[in-house]
Amino acid sequence: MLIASISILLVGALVSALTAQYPKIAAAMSLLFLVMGCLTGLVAAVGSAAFSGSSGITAGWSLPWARLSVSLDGLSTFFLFTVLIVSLLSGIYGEAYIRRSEGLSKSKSVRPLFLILTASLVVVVCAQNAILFLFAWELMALSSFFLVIIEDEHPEARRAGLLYFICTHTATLALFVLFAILGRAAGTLDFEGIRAVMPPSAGQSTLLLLLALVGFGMKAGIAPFHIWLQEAHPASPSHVSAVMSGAVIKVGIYGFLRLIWILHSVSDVWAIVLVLAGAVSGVGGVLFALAQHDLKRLLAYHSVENIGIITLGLGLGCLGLSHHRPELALLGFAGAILHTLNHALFKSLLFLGSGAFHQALGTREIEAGGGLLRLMPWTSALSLIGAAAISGIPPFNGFVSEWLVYMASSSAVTAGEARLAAVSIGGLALIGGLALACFTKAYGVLCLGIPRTEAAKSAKDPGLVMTFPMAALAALCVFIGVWPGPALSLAQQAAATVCGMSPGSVHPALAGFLDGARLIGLIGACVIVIGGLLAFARFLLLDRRIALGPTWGCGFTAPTARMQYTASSYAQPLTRAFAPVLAIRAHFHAPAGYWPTESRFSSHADDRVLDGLLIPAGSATVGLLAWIKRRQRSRLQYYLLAVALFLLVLLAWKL
Amino acid sequence: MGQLSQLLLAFIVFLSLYLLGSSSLTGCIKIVALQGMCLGVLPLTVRAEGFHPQGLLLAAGMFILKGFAIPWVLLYAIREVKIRREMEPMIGYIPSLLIGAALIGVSFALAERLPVPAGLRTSLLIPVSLATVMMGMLMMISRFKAVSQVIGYLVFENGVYLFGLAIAYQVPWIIEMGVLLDVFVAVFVMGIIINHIARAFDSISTEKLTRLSD
Repeated sequence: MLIASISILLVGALVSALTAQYPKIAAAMSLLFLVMGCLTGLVAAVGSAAFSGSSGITAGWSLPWARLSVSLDGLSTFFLFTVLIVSLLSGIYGEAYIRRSEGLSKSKSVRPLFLILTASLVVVVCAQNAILFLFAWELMALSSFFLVIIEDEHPEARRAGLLYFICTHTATLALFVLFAILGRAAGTLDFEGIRAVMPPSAGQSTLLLLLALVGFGMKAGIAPFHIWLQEAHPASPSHVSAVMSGAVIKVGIYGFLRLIWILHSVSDVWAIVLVLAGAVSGVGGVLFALAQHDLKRLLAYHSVENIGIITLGLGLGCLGLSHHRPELALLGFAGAILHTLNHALFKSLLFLGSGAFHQALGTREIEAGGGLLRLMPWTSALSLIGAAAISGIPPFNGFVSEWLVYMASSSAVTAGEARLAAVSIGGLALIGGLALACFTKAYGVLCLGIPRTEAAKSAKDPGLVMTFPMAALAALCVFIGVWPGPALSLAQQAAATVCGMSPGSVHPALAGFLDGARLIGLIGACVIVIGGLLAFARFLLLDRRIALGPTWGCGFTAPTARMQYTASSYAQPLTRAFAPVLAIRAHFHAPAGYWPTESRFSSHADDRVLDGLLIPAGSATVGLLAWIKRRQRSRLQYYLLAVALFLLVLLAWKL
Repeated sequence: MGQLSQLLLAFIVFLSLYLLGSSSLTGCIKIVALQGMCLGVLPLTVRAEGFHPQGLLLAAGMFILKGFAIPWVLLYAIREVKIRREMEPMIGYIPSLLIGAALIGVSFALAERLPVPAGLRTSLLIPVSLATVMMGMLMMISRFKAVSQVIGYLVFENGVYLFGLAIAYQVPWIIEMGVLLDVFVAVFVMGIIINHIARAFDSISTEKLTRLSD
């Protein structure tokens, strides 16, 4: 079934590329093949989950040490679900999105590339051979690169594409080294074969961690390797952003988990590094999100934040492995794995929603919106569910997985790593609060109040084809939040696979924690329902009259809609509190004189790693080299002299 | 036999020193030709086990190529561009000679410490090859005229050949032929390029070429 799914997707890519001359046929074909391929894949995943039998297929390949070997264990199954659900729904949404977008509807390559991306994602999570894995990994990187630059008439898309290209190849380079080390130790590049000769020595384990942090961490967007996310996510079409944020960066997390599975056990260094990296990405991501005005950039930083939460879970799981505490390992990994699915669901929901807002407003600037709750009720309501879920509010799915990570943190206290637990709990609490602040900001400015621009006044909900995928994702968010059983048992199976345990021994170990999650969820849901009932009672008591009137403007006679509370001012207390981290640059042209004519205010929060460190370092290097180039006397004889002196010194030194 | 080869080696070093101190380009080319002929004969004197037809053939090829063909190309080149002398060397002739003498000393010192096969320990072959390489480099560094640089390159290559002779008694002759062909093509190309440079710049001083860099 798995092979059938991959083949259908690839054939779909070919067919939609061949029929690209006729957009209608290409659209129908790519949709047909996408739905068929993803459904076939889902059937394979359901089959594997239900019978927990790995349906592996192995075939020879002409490349040295390579075999075309795919199979589904617990971990692969879980990620296959994630990848397929996100790709399927985003693909359906994408069809309508492409049709409504002027630039994209002319593009011939967007549909084939999307299908190739989906197929490569499926292969990456199922591959059992390092060469096949790297092959699919590169295919995924390249197809997503071409999707990022699909609107290449915008300079920002080209810049983002270049940055993504550099980052993804740096990551692949690290992975090549990683698998070369593993393959040399094992004499084979099959994952099972490598696993048979592991675990590695302590020094090698640390080296592998560093390589994985660059290779998988760069793809996943763990700080400080997140630099491409906030550029590439806004630049790509919304349904591609949804897949990139929902599935592509999750493959980095999958890589970490697969590597831990291969290595059997990891050292304490892994736990410490991952927990710290997770806390930094989580808090840093949400802080930078708070300072953004661009909706998709804001969401991209939230991806960094959620990857941080996932990495915290990973780190705690590693702590459990290294301290031989299976329940801690299971909790940490299950939390990380479940949050991967949850983040894939609500983040793609939010990206799809942001695409609808973007098309309605013509800009991604949140300050251009306002009052969209009335004008675009469906998109706004569904985005609200996504925003509540990402903020970790019960009874939505984000809460369940964050709860697991909290539980893992508190159980790490008893493992004798109180400092790590403190970092983790403190980080999670800070992340939760700030994420809530950030989404009230974005959602409030975008959907509440009154429209600020003409475009916002005439905004309308998109058609059913675009609303349905969002509704499906929102339904999944609610479903996992209210009834986490099925998703949790899948996540447990995956976590058990990573820890190398039999799936049967898992349920008793975690049963206690899950009841707690359900109880808390229930209480939270009750609070929300009671709040809703109170609001409804107030509405009834007011005799169903809600008066709308102008705000008192302190005597100012010509108020405009732009005088509403802005996103920047809402976030200002928080951004000021974290000013040393954020370093916001403000351009303020103050009004002057009795009859001020023009005044302006704008603020930017540049990325600390990319704009604050890498770009200055890069331009300093270029400046230094240019200086050397001016200074050096470019004459053949001097070069020869340099070579001769070098050789002489070398000879004298070595002899 | 051994005496003869030592004598030849000493002569080769002497020729290299002479090159460093000479300003006449025609003279330099003739000296290099002489050095090439010595190199061609040298393998016959080094090999104790007698004359193989292959070895004879190789020596003859070397002799003709280095002694006649390459010098002829170079003479043709300087006849075309009408120059006779290296006018302004970067390092003067007397200092070049002194540096060359110092380099010979250095190469003897280095050769003492090189891990070489036992039979070569007492031979002049290693120090002479090192000295020739270094002097060739010195010549390339200190002269501006393109022709002088080609001559320097040839001396350098002669040194490399000597070193190869020292290390591998049984060098497969196909490799030696490859080396020879390489050198011949390189010199041929350089000869042609020198002509073109002269036509384009009215000079063959590489100093003017630096203007080409951005």
